[in-house]
Amino acid sequence: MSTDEFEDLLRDALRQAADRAPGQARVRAALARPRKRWRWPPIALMAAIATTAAVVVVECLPNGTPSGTVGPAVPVATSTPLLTVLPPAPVRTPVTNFAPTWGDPGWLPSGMVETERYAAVDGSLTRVWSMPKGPTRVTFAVRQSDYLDRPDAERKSDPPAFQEGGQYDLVGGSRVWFATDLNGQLTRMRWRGASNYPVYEVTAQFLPDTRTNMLRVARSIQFRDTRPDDVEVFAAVGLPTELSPTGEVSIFRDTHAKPYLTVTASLDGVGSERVFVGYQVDQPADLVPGWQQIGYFHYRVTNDGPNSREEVAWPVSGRWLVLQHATFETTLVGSPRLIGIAGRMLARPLPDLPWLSG
Amino acid sequence: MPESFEDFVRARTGVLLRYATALTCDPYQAQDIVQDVLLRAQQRWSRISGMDSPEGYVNRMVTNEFLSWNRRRARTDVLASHERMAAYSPPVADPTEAVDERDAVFAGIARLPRKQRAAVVLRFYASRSFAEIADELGCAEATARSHLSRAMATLRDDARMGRTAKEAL
Repeated sequence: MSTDEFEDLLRDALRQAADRAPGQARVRAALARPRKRWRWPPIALMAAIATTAAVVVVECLPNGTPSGTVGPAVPVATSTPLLTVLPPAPVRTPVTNFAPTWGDPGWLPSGMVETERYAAVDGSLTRVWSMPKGPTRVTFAVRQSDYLDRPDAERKSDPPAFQEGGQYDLVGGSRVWFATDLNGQLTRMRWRGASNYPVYEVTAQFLPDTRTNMLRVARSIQFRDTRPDDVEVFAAVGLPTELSPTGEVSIFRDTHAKPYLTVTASLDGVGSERVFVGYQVDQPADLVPGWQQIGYFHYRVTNDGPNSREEVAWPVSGRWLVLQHATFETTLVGSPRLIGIAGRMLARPLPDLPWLSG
Repeated sequence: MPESFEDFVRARTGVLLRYATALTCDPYQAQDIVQDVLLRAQQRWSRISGMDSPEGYVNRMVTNEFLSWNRRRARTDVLASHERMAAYSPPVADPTEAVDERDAVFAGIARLPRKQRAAVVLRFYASRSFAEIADELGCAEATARSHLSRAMATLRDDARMGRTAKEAL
């Protein structure tokens, strides 16, 4: 194929992709809704910094052991690396409504290892296995939300896309639905348990004999009534009340095969004011240049037009907590608010995760 | 007189959604990105509307949002009904080789690193020059050319790599 032909093919592919753009209704509706927005007077900056430097509130507990004691806040000197004080404000964990069931596949394609876990705000849980060398991925998820538009769709509608010759595949006695995403890259199958809730899902990417192998994975899953202890890791970071988790709490292996936990949250419930929380082994790579020390915290404002952001990073329990707030302001002068939020974060040591070291 | 935000939304939302969909390879993420960007633009419209090219500025906001950190998890999972997914992916495979080829190329674009993907979309969907791509991505022109060159090499090899990966299993 000549260069011109290949470029024409690219143009056609992208034009067709753009044709799949969603309608404007949701965006227009969101724009029509009233929004609230926070503003801080400059004088509040120094007051908040002074307060936060004196009262730092990260809780460090033994692995997986909840604390039942609450004591007075202890002032922390700016040069002291040890944080032992307790939060002065209500703190909640990102995910409190865990899935009532969980499961382990008894069979997976040879060589696959578990690499990621996600817990969504609604309590859904997802596990991901990947081939160490190659693009193959398989996931298993327990979904708490009924995102099939019609709950009784299985009984009323025509056979779905992948059902051939009127043959219905069953998993645990329930009929299975197959579907593919935009370009056939991702195949998903879903089915319901006996109680019609939650929904179970297996997805596969670049899996040979896709349908056969996905059914084999699904049929091999051994369900448990309670979640395993290692899911507790999802509650290892507590958020102050200004932050509402909006999507998934995620844990996956970092470059050292260590757990790396992330939470995406909205600020004051305003969906567009996103704060990203990372709980990681390494300190931010570029921590020295451009950052300023404010009390115990490292703080940075990056003015980069619509990609402007402010960040706070600080060490906790041998790890680093990082808050990033994308403000999309062209000029930021430094907000005390993110430092105040950082001061009321709750963090616990992450337990060992055998599935991450495999 | 500067355009009102309402007029801008009426005229540009569809265009932005199409661009974002080509960029993300995912209509749901495109919707999220365009919504977030327009919400921000709405708050600062008095300043944006006074710019030489409000369209260009908002388009760049979409590009930056796509490239930005807070989207990196969102693309791993998209919740959608079967009906919706069926609408995007017809049940019956198209028998023509051209469609298969086009779909394979699009799948390859979806797997590109973000900056390379953005460069490809800006070049072959938005028909931008290298200088304009560099400006949009906030990099040197030589870097933009490098992004595109690497992307093209990857896309050309993509079909072969897919077959190799399958055979390896």
